[in-house]
Amino acid sequence: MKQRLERGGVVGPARAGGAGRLLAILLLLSGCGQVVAIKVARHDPNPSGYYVCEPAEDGKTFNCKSDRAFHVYDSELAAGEPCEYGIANLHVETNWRGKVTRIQFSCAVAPVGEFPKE
Amino acid sequence: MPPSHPALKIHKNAHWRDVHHANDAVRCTRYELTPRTGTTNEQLLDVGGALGAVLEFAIDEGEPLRTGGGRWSLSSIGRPKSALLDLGNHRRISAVPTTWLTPESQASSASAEVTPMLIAAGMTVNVVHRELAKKKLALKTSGASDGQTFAGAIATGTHGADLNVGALHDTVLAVHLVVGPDRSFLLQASTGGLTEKAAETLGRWFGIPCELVSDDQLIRAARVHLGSLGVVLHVIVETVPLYYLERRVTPHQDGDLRWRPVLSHRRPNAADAGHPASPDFLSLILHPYLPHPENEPRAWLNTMRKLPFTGQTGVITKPSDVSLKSDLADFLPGIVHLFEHDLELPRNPILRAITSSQLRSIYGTTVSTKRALPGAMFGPPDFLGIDFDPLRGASAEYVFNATQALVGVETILQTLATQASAGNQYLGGIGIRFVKGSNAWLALNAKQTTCFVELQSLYTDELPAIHSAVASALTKASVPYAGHWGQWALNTPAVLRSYWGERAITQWKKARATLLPTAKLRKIFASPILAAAGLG
Repeated sequence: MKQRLERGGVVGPARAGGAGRLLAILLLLSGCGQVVAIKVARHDPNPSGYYVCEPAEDGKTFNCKSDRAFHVYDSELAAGEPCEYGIANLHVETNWRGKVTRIQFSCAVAPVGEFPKE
Repeated sequence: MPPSHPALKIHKNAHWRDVHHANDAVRCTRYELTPRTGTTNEQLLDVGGALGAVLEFAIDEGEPLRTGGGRWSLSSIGRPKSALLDLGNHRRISAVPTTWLTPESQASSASAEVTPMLIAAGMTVNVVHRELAKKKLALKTSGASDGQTFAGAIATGTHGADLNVGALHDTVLAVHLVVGPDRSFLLQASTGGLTEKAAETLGRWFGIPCELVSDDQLIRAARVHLGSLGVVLHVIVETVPLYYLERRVTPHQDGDLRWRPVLSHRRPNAADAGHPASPDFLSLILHPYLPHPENEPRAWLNTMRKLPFTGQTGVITKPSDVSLKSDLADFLPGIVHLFEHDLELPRNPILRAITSSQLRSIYGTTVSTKRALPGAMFGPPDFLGIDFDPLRGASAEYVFNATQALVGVETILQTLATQASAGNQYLGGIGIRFVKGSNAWLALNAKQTTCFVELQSLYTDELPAIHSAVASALTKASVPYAGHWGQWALNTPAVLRSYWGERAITQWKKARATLLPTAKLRKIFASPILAAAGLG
């Protein structure tokens, strides 16, 4: 049974990592206290992507890919990478033991500006 | 040579899928307009330059081009064939400069407390709600959910349930339509209040010459444009001082004699004295079958009225409150979530109980009231996190004259019952809404008051037979109907003739031929739904 622990949460500005520019997002899941690191693909061609993260082989991290393109729900968040404008939505699934089995998030999009005064 | 511009990103082999998984996924080339860092004027020129490059390529190559929407539609109206234009990064909104308006228009807007706003049409209605609220303004109405782009919402006739305003497209004063790399129109009604200055400025901003056209026939076509008249780059929309919606929902058993008459007289206070006598919004949610046990609610009557927002406490302002389930918007993802665990579909008797449970959990078993800003009330359905695979969503919306609401709804309920007894169980809910009429040629709210009956469900092998039976039953009951442009493809040429009539069809096609004068140009902006409806 899938369990929702958090929805619409804000992770805060995502930051590019060091060598390899892998993104690590630290999530403190209030329901179970588990800290999860997520690796995001290095050069994802879809900056406004919808990412699905599955557990990596090491059992400690999650690998993410955006196999569904431009699934964006607009939200206002700070800028970061590879989601240039931060993360819009976050959805975490756990198994019955509270172990995280899948994480989904979508990138926020650009802020809204005004037209010239003429 | 593929199109090239410094503000254009080309994503080959991009993956397109609609939110409800109603259409097959598509691999396509996505042309993303990405204005570079610079002044506002430089960025607008980037948008126009990149857009022009894509249009020039599409026209030269004869490549059909769909403008990407919010992927909200369950029909194929937004599904790209091979190329998709992504306007998602052009995100601007401002009050229309007074120099764009005639003195008469300025005076009438001021007296009516209307502020005309210029809106980049690739933004979602959700974002427009949010940005307007920051300016203490609001759209006059909205769809029941707001994940569509503004252009996509009016393309499909997205309607909501406003008895006094009409649908979103009825608040559109003008449409900025780009039909080629060096040609665009600013369409308004013959009595429109925009001046040549407006078109001249838009042309200069984007580097695409713009012509002001004040023509009732063309604006009536463009208000519900089906994504097939060109690229809707901007709209000018009437906005009003920010209000909040006060919503009341009352559950009713099937045997409760009070809710059915509301379909005819639309006076919800006759069903429950706590409802307003003349609400701004009126809708009902129905269980498709008699619930078991029968003392469970069968219908939920939902009214809303608009009240001025001056910062009152207790009004929900953020679109994140999951208690705001006023419509079917969250029904489908929820039911997918419940049904995805290997239940035998669709004859499993437990499914009706699950449907009842889902309706109860969303709409409640007691009277409830909520107060929220429009952007919160119509805010995001809970799609993220719902993995539809291998299931698919489906929705059909039958639209007919509100004078026939009672017979139309009873015909649909009876047909669903008959189909179920034959083994074709419908796995969904029913939403009923009423909307004031429109003069847009292909508006769904084409009658003085129009009744919308939405059947949102899981897709099962039995569903086509169920909808065929519903359509036949409505015809047999002498209820001329049409289908929502963003939902199940009901609009055949015969349906168009019986619901809208020849004049509306002819005028819309004539407008399209005026705006897109060559067959080659019309092919660029064509879609399968257009062909199925006999519109081009």
